[in-house]
Amino acid sequence: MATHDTTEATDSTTGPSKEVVTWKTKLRYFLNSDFVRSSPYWGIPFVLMGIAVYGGIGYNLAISFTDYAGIGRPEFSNLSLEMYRTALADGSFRQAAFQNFVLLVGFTSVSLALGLFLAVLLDYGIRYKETIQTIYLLPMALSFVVTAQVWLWMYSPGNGVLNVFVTALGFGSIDWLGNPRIALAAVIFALVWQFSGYAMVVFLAGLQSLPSDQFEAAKVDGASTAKTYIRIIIPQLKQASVGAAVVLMLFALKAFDFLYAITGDYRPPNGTDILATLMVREAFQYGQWAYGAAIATMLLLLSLSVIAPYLVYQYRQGAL
Amino acid sequence: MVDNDKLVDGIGRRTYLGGIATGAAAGLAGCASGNTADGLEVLHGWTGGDGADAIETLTDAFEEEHSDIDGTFEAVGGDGNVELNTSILQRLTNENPMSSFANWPGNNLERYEGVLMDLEEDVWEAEGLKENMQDRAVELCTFNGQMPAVPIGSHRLNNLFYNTAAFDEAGIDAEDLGSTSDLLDALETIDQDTDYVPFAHGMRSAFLGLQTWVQILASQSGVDAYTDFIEGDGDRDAMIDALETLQEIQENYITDDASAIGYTQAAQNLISDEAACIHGGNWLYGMFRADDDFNYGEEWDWIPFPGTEGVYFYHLDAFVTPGDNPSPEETVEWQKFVGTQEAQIEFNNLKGSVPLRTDIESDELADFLKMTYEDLLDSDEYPPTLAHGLAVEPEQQNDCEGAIGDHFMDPYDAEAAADGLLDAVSE
Amino acid sequence: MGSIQLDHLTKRFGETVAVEDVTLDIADSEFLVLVGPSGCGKSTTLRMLAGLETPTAGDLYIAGEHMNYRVPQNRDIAMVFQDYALYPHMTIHENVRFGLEEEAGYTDSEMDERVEEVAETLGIDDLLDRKPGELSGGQQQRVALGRAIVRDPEVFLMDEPLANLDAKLRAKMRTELQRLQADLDVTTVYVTHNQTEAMTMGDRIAVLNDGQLQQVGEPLELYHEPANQFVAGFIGEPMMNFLHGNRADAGFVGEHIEYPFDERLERAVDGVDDLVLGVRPEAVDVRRADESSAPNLGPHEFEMTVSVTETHGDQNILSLTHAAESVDHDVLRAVTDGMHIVKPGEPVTVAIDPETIHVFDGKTGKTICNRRIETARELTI
Repeated sequence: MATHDTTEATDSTTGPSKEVVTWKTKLRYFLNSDFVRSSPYWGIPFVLMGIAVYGGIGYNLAISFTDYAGIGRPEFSNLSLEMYRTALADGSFRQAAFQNFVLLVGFTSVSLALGLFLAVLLDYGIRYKETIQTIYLLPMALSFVVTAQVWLWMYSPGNGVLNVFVTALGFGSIDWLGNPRIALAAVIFALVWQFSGYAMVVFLAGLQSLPSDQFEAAKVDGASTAKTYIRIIIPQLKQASVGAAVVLMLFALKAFDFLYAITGDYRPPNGTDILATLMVREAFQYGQWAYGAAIATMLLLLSLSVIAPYLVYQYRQGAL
Repeated sequence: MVDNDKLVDGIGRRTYLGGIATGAAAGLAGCASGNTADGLEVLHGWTGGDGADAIETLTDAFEEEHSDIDGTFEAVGGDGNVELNTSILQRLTNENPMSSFANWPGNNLERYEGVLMDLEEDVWEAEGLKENMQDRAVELCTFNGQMPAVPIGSHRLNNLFYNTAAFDEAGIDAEDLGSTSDLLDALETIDQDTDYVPFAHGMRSAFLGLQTWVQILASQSGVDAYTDFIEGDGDRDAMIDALETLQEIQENYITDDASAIGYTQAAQNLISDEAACIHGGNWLYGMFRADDDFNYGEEWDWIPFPGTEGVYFYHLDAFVTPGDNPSPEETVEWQKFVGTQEAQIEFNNLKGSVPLRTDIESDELADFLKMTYEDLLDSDEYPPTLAHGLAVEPEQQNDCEGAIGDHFMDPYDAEAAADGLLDAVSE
Repeated sequence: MGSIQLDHLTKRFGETVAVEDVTLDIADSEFLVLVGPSGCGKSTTLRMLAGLETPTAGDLYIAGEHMNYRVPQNRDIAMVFQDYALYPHMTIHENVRFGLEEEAGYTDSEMDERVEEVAETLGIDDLLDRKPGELSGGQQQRVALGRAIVRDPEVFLMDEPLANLDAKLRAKMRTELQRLQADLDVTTVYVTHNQTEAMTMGDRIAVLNDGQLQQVGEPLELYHEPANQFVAGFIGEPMMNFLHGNRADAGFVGEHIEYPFDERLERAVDGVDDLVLGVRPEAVDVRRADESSAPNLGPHEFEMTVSVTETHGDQNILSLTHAAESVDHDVLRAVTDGMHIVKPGEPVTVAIDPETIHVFDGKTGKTICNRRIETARELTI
């Protein structure tokens, strides 16, 4: 092929009549390249994704610039950022955004901590390790709806399991989900219950990939178990924890299913409204399509801002 | 990596591509699930209990009479028509309308502005319904110069159902309860002297608190105060008084788990002899009737909400028709049927609401309904319900529910709630 | 003092016995090499010394104190692992400093000083700010050493530290380690499967096989006076030649060779029938065969053909096949001087002096008699 190329090069210098050949040959090479010949394989999912996902996102973005509401068609003649301005000025939006942020941070950090703790325990080698692992991971197999119903019963102010304990200890029964001050914490707790198994699995995999002689070397060097974990083992789990954190944050952003299943309508318990529930309420209950689209776009930006540092971090790691 | 020179692979590739294309086409075809039902398609929200029985009787009767029409009657579930409204909204936005749907007329029709079918000529005038329907109902079914709906049943909203045993034990005579303060005293007595929960109440959804508040407002400050409010000119102090009364009830006289339950469970408390009384629309009657041991006049009885004698708080269920109707002729037949005596009696006897036709023999209705029907025809004032779409436009109603939801579901901030309510109706 | 006593030390893993009844005394400042093939129990013994395994039976003493149940943190030992076990997320400086942090009596600045001191000794002081991942194998190994040295322990334990280095580096490090150990004057227990390292580095060698201690002694002692066939075959490169056979009237009859015994051998062998004769390759004398001398072979001379010649520069290793038969396996290996070039296929005359013969019991492997050593001449230091 190399010789062919050089022939082409010299040919092109000999006169215009040869250039047509060159152009055609280049086209042929292009059409024969891996990229083009494999395009039917990646092309079809690409097109489908393009229409369904990215097209949908684009249309959503377009609608958010209009004032489309109720029945009828959107008018694209008068585009403005009014919906965004309204959202940012609206108290309930800000409240929902704040609560979303609390959910995000709270859920992720508690899940990571709990998952790490249990992974360390399991790695250390307690008995019935596999059984405990399975038990801890099982809640992930439940759908959000099932989890919501289970916790609804657990949190029931009358005779839910938690209140049975609380009253047995002598306190008055607590309205976990009804009290706006603690409702969000109660929701976070239920979600942590469901997902910290994932964090545990990721950390356990990370822990088990560490060569055990580092642990032994630390022992011989005189470090206690606690110090070994804190100084040696855990710092090496940075990669795993970043990965787990990103996935957990995405779960948090999708907590809509759980909140919807708790109340059965579009208005989650007081104090637990998040951007996703606000968006669905505005769009589908009130018919405020453009406003809902604006909230959806902002939710997308929030998700991207969560992922972006991770991508940058990965890119930098790879580039090193 | 495919070797450029091998033509044999070309066939494999083409076959593969062909397969993919066919598959995609089939998939897309499947996805485009068309509601290609010819004939009548009606959506409603009565998925269970008394409502389901009622609609079934109605539809059976219709199909018997009009066996040539192919009718599909679909139930879409959820408290307070929320899911039903969402489905209808989606269908109408996608320009895929159904033939008819159950919904509240009155101001509720605002959300369907511009896409409704006018039945004035074909149904109302043809069947003479303008003369035969209760006046308020006719008013509520008129919208923007059109008449796109036919009413099927009305629930009354200013009710106080009470457990006779509980009242007897506390020594309360229900007839004596003439005002909200009387009610509060009674609740206090029940609380002190008996083991009953004084007031059964569900607080899960905002509209439940809203509707009770409306009753208290009308009771304490008169129906005019309420009417002023829904017209945008509410008396803030009166509203705060009513809110504070509601707060008092919700803080002292209800079950611990109220915030997690809806009206069904609250009514269940009454039926199972744990609670003393409950406020709600008289769809609760449907629930009571389902239990054979819990009978009108024996285990339970009824008074109008204390302070609202002579008032019929209007709620209305109707069948509404979208414009650009897929089956105009069949729809007209259906709507006509809805307005007949037979339909109204059959449906309402099971549903627990009262018919809107004025020419019905009240003996054809069950006892409790008979009494309510007579009140329908013969009351002094007919204020429309706020929580069920008749009083204000849907957006305003949503905002009212929002005001209650945000500020009046523990913790209670009467001032903020009142302001929220006033803002909601003043748009 | 950092002396070590292993007293009937045994370690079982379930059904398998990894270390069986090992008794060994190691003096203070001694460099002892534990050597043996894979799976012989040397690493397990080392780990028991470190405290990473607990002995199933027997006792372990370091500096006179009973150590069986003491955790590694409290044993005042340092260990160099086969793959160095450096902490990848810390810099070299922090890696070396880590062990010091647990030692009493050092302030922060003293710790840093000590780290730099050790780093200089090992020649890694310019690497202190890098991470282990950036270093070559040899540099990492020196960091591992530094980490051990910096703590000034009673005992160094080394688990095959040179195994991952290339040949040249390994040779260089062998010398360096020896010098280091002599300078620091610390008891060292060194595990390896490489007999060259054992021979060159150790003050004494302990040979293990199948969990059992075969022999312990100075390198040359093991070389010239092995206690059994295993030690004889393990120590020495190229391996000792073994000829299996039986006692005959004149001496020994093997598969290809008949070897008459001299007086010394006769007396030693006595009535044992199943015998193995051992002779080191360098003791096998090889001369080019003359046609004329063909029929005149002495009692301990044989005709053989060279099948393979390995040229090492300083020496040649010849593989010899018995001339008379066309067998394709080699009977003997011999070492000749580098300048003495013999080509494959050449017929040669092989002579084996009976003084250089070791005899082992064919059944038990124990030594019946070793070669004669003329102490005055051959073992002058």
